[in-house]
Amino acid sequence: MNKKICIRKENIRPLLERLSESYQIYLPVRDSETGIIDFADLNVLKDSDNLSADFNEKTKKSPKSVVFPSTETLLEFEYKKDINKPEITQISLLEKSGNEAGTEKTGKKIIFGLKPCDTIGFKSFDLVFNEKGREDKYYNEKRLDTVLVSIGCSTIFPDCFCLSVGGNPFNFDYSDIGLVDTGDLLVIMKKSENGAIAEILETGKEFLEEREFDESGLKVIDDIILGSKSRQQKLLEEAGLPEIDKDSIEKILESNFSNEDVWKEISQKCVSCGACTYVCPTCVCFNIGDEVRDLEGERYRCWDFCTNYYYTLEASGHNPRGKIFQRYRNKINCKFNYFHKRKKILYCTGCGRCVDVCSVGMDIREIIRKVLMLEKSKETPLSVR
Amino acid sequence: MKKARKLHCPLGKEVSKKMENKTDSDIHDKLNNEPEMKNQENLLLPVVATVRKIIKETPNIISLQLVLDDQQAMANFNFEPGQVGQISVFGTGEATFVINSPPYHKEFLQFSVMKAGVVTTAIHNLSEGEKVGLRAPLGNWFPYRKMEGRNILFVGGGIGIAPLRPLIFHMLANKDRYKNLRLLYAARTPQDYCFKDDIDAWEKSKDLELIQTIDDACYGWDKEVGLCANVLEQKKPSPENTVAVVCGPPIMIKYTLEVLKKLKFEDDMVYITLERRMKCGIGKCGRCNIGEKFVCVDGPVFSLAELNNVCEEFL
Repeated sequence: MNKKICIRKENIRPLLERLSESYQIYLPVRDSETGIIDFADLNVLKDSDNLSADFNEKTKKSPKSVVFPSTETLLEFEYKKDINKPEITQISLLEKSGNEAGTEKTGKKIIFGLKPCDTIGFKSFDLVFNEKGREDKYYNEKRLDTVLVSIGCSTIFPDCFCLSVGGNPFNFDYSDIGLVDTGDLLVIMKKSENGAIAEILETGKEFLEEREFDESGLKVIDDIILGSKSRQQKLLEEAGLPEIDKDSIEKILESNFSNEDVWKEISQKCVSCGACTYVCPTCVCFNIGDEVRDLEGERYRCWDFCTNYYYTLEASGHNPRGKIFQRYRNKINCKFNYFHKRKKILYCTGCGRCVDVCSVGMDIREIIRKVLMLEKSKETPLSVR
Repeated sequence: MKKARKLHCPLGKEVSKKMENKTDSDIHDKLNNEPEMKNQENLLLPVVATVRKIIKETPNIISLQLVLDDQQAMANFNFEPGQVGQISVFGTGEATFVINSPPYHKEFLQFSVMKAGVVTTAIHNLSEGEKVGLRAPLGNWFPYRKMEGRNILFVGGGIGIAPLRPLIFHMLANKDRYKNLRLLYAARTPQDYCFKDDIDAWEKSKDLELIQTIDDACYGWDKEVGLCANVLEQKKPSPENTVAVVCGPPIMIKYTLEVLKKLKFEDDMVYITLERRMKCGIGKCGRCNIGEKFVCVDGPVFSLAELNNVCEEFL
């Protein structure tokens, strides 16, 4: 009755290799030379001695680049000169396919071993790029065939705060397959009932096994899940960061929008470098530009960041968000107010990457705390500490 | 045929509202179960258009008449007054301009471009017969049906007359549905007036009352002198059953709105069109937001009542 499909740890690699025959596999990989962990293609792992899979630690960057590369070509163009009318040039356009150039395989992808918070990042992206009537072809071509296989977090890191933004370390709501690590096994706790998942399980069935779980077996799993949650709960309580009430933070941000002193204080340290945006699993903003050489060129899009001065600079010289506090205020409002209004979710998954990466020690948890305190104290900013 | 119809598909508000009611699992299921979506239209891909004619309006403004190279698409191209288009000069970039030819006019699409930055300079350097890219129509439009049966007060400053132009033409063509039409058109100097042929026609027209003003008095000018807002205040238009439609540079909008408020115009009877730096034009790249609203998909036309609910300042 309580049968669950399991993967023995030693079978993970053979399973992925089997799947890589028909899928492109991305997994978190540790580089032993630099110590950096990031998502990489399984093939990259095969070719290098320094690299090894690491499903425990958090990757430096979010996996968003799998479906939303930091730079991608939208189209190519070529000017053609008509020798009879040399002053007039003709143009030909070539639409670039959304799938990564150079991959011979099918577009099917599996991201194996991402954290549950990162799947919520994909949800944030889907909500933007898949709006009905305004679908983004480049994104969807990569995203529609991507399967998210997440492993719940048994380890809680000091910068994790998913519980306070409404997530939890074992939130498999947006995973296609959700796994729990019981030590020697990965147990499938959630799988979407659709053809794509069935196909994956069929392809890899040689390395999967069905196990009966009796009550004590299930309790072990439950203990892992609950233990992890309560550990994070405790950490957050110590840090004074409760679960955010989405509606109330929206209201607080709204009513304190023109409280410029608060925002100046909050953004004081920020140097507008944009590192937080680049590692963020929910930050979706991009820029579009043209590159041209002689008569040929391409239009590309690349990640952009809202704390960038040039982000809103208009040709006239007018900049609606010319000051850093205005831009940082927009960033925080975007995550905890605007997108909650538009899509009913917070654009923060609590992964803590921005805290880890910031060169001047900005801490989004500290900012959330300050914002929440505004409501309680209603005092001048200097006393908000 | 199919392509042309799709091209028109207005990227309006209704669609985004529908989306918001969807649950997460709906979205997720759709992502995994609807392979036919892969054949969707690419909204970031421009169509090629030819520059039919360039009209020099003022020392730094030109009007550009574009014709889509795909004749079918051109014949089936529909837009509403107030909608915008993204013009690409390939190799330089893309920028947003309002379509200012009358909506019933099917021969070409007209855009007016003031020389300001890199892309607008490249557009100024185009010659007739050259190729550009176009993504249009984008954004929402003036709710001209809602305005039926009312007096309309247009207030345009400088190049801000361009978004009003298709609406004025639409209303003049359907004059029986609207009451008095008044246009206050302000420019810095007489040389800064665009659409001189239109002005001549409007001056003679019985259907439209035209008030023109320049900032400082100058030789040979026999019309109003003074800033847009000041002239508006002198004229004291009645707010009675009147919709005001305002467009212009931020500073002019700011003072005009103050005067309209003094004159007791209700916020839901005042419409403005806004501009922001835009890239994608389809509500994804993020930069054109004013609070939670995106100018490219929720705008560029807003009623003042809508904007008052937004915490961020819109000017």
